[in-house]
Amino acid sequence: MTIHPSQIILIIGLLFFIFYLFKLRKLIFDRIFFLIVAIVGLILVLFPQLSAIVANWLGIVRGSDLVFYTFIIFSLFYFVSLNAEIRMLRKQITELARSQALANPVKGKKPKKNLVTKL
Amino acid sequence: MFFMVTMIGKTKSIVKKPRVCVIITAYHEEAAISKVLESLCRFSHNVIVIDDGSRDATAKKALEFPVTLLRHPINLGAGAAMQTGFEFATQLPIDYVVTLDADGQHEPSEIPRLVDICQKGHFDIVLGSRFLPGATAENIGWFRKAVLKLGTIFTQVATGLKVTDTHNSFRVFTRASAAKIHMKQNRYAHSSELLAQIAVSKLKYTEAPVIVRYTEYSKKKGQSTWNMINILWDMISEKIK
Repeated sequence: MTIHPSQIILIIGLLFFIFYLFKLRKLIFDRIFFLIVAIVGLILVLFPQLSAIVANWLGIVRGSDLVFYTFIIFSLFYFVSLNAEIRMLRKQITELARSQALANPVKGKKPKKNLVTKL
Repeated sequence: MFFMVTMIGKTKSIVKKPRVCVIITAYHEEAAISKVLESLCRFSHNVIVIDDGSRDATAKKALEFPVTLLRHPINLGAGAAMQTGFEFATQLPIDYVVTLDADGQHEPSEIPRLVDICQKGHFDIVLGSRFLPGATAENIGWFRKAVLKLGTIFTQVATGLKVTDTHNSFRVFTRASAAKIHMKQNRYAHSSELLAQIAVSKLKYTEAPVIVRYTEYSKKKGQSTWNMINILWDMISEKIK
């Protein structure tokens, strides 16, 4: 089995993705990452032939394939970022709902005498 | 004579009656909660019902009994409800906190025995098990049993705890140990998270055989066997920052 340079880059990208998930993920890194992706996207729009040149360097046949692979990795990062935001919101909602429940305990009917068996 | 009286006084204080508080979490349990509370209120003065955002008559039915009702404004999940119960109960002047299910699969008459085990063995936590010798798991399907066993092996490996039943919510905690539990998992993975916290906090635990009765109702209401996948997913996603 021969490994292509593009495969190595994809594997490194995905391994970095796993490392990022568990160790590095912070809002500031997310923003820097999205900014870089946006700038790269802008450059590719202005100079479409660049994608083909870079793809050839990496041994990928077409420039559009390179853009597609990059899009998949970018989507994974974005998915995780959104997921983290949702979990943070859910945590805040939980705390809010819990504090409301704890602040308003309601007593049920009074116990009948001799109902409780002594432990 | 004075010495004897002092000794009797001391003996009495040693065998002090434990003050027990029972937490029961309920979501859409209007069909079963009355029966469970009727039985439960015979064994504890101090029953706390956490209504986890039910839109049916669960809260109304619970208030027909001498209980304290706490209501989540929205449905958060069994783990979140149990944590709310712990936070409320640990502020009360009690010795032990007992948790059990609202769908009637546990037997409240077993509470005194479990509390006794906790008290006499000076344990922090007693975990109910349906798989120990002497336990009963009525009407448990083979598939559910197999998945529960698999989940137990997984939790044993992940936490290092030697337990035989990880997803049994019939448990007894001392007040101090309940105060150490801070569950963040709202839904499926809270049982595994709780055991992980027992392991990390190095709480002294034991297992005790309990009766678990699966009825058609509890099977319908309880977690689906396929929820093991949800549990795994929740456990992994909790590790993500």
